[in-house]
Amino acid sequence: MIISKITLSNFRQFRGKQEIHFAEPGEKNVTVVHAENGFGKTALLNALHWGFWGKTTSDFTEPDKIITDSLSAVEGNRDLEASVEIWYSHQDEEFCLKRSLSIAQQRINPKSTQVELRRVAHGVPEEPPYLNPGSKIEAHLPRAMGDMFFFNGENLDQLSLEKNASHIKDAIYKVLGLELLESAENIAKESVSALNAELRKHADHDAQALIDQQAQCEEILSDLNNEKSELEKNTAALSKDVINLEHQLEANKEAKIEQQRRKDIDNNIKNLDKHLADKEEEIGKFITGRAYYLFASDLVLSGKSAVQRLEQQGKIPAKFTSTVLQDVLNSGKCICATNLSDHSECRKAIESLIEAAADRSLDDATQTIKTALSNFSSIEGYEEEFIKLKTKHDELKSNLSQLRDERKEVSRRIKGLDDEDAQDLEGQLQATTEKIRGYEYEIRDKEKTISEKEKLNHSLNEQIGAAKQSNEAASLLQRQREITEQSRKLMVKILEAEKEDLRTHLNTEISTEFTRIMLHKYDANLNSDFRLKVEKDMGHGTQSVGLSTGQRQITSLVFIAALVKLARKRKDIPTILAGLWGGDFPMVMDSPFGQLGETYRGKIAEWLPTIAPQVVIFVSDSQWRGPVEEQVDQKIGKEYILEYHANALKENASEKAVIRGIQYEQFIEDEEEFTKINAI
Amino acid sequence: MEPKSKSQELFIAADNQVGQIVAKAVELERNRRRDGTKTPKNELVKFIKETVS
Repeated sequence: MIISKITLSNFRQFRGKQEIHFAEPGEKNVTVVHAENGFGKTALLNALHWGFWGKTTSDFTEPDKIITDSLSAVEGNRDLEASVEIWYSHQDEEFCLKRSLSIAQQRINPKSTQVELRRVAHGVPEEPPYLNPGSKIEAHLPRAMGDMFFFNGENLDQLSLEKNASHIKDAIYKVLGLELLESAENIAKESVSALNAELRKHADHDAQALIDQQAQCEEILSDLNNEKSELEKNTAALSKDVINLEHQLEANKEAKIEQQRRKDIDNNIKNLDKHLADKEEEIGKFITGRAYYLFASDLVLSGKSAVQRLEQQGKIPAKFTSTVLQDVLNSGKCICATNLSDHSECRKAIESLIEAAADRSLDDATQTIKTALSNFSSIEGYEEEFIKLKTKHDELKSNLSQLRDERKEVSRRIKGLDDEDAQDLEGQLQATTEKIRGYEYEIRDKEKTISEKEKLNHSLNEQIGAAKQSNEAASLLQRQREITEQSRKLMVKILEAEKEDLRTHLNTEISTEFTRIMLHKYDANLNSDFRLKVEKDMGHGTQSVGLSTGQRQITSLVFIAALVKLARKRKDIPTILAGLWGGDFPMVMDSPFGQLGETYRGKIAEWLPTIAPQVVIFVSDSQWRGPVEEQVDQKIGKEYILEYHANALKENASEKAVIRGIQYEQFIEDEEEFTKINAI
Repeated sequence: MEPKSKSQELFIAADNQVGQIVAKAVELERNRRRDGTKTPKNELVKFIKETVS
């Protein structure tokens, strides 16, 4: 998909009809929109989200007021309508979509918008519009992709946090077509249930009971999954609240310093937690593999001394065994050829030797024990190793506990700041974090129950498949459900194989892009749970790295760039999903340099135009000047500046922007508040 | 001959009827997304009954 134009009509502060033409793919593929904070950058980003999907981003204030109060209050505006029109091309076809909302509708239900999608032929939208515009748009650009590709750089660092692995998984599934397989598997699952219901009518009593049991089990599973997904949604919503609260706290100067300190502590806690878990696993493995040595130490010592005693007494090793002497007696002749007749002296002498001689099996057993005991000679080494592991573990635990105390102390200081707002925000932040922790426990509980029920469901499924049927109709239905079940299982295997295949490709892209950008010798990759990991090579292995906010932002950006690149190559990767196309997608970024230092700004600015065929950047004057301007300047195809009208200038904003040495007015004092889009 | 991915190998190795059902389910889901229609559960059941008889 390539976006050619967006037209805004009365969308938020963009009054009247205003438009932006986007730079096309090629040498100059970058569109830059200059704007101070608060002049309309986020509203512009949200015009795209709202236009495509009728939704806005979580950080967009007053999302239910697409038409502003000041505009709707004007007499004569009763029939006013807000709209966003987007012209785009997709797979060699052109489309025009228009989403609109009237004042009346906004008052009743602002979420209920009108959307029309038309194919464009020779520059003119065709009639009639598509019947299912929402599905069409979702097929051209799924919402999950929009969240990835049209983003606010200020919050981008969150994507690389482990807790956001599910967003990453969603995006990969949607962007790379795996969602199609997942849904197809669901259809197969529903078909098995439908065939089960039919089989129940024809089946014998035992099979009927099994089918009923399975239906009940599936119902419970479905409820559990719904409850789990509800909890996950709540957690995600609260996580967004946490981000907003953290940002608000950062806006308070005093709190900002403490907030940063707490974030650093959080990073250290996360790292130590990981090391502690690794150490616990190491100790666990040690105990499973060798711990019996440790607990057997007393037995080993007493065994060794018993053997030693027998050796000293000359009892082992045996000089001769009772078996040999018995054989001699049985033969009636000694080895020296003397006859061993009954009651003879020689016979009596040999009989007395038998009593003193060792039993063969006892001798062998003693030797075996001796060899086994010698294997315990390294026991002291094991003890030492175990003590080392345990000491390291205790050290980590104590450091962790110190950090947690330190964190509490910082939180207490933030709460104790002589600033009511900061105190209030801190209180809210702590309560929200506590709630999230509670939800996370509940989710883990649900997961455990779901896993148990899934096992039961699987077993019932097998039993239904194996149950004997006494009539032909039931046998046929049973075969049909069995083959459908096999198909479903094959889909699961195929999905897993494709997922792993794509993860490998994605990791190659991530690693390549990451090493291009990162100044440190770190490597980034996605593990099998879709957690984005950054590690450094320690020579004898790798170690997870705690990242700063800026570094996390770069990691997230690299992931998105890798995804855009892989989407373009999708059609060249072997798959059973015939007909998947390689997609070109634009990247639209609001303040992509927000959290970055000067060195990284330059590097990212040089890199951005190369990562997607079409790049759109919304940037403030202070973020633009210097390395960003130097690197991006030659790549600009279209350029705009937002001119903000209001009765007062916002804090920290400047009236003029300087672009390539030329000054542009970006603030006009005015009774009315609105924003104009001016082409440069 | 082009190298096959693991998923393609799994698909090729599958029983003929199983393969047909997998392909049909994917096709139905793709059409559903393209046309914005409802979940094609009944269509797949119909196909299964025609295929496994």
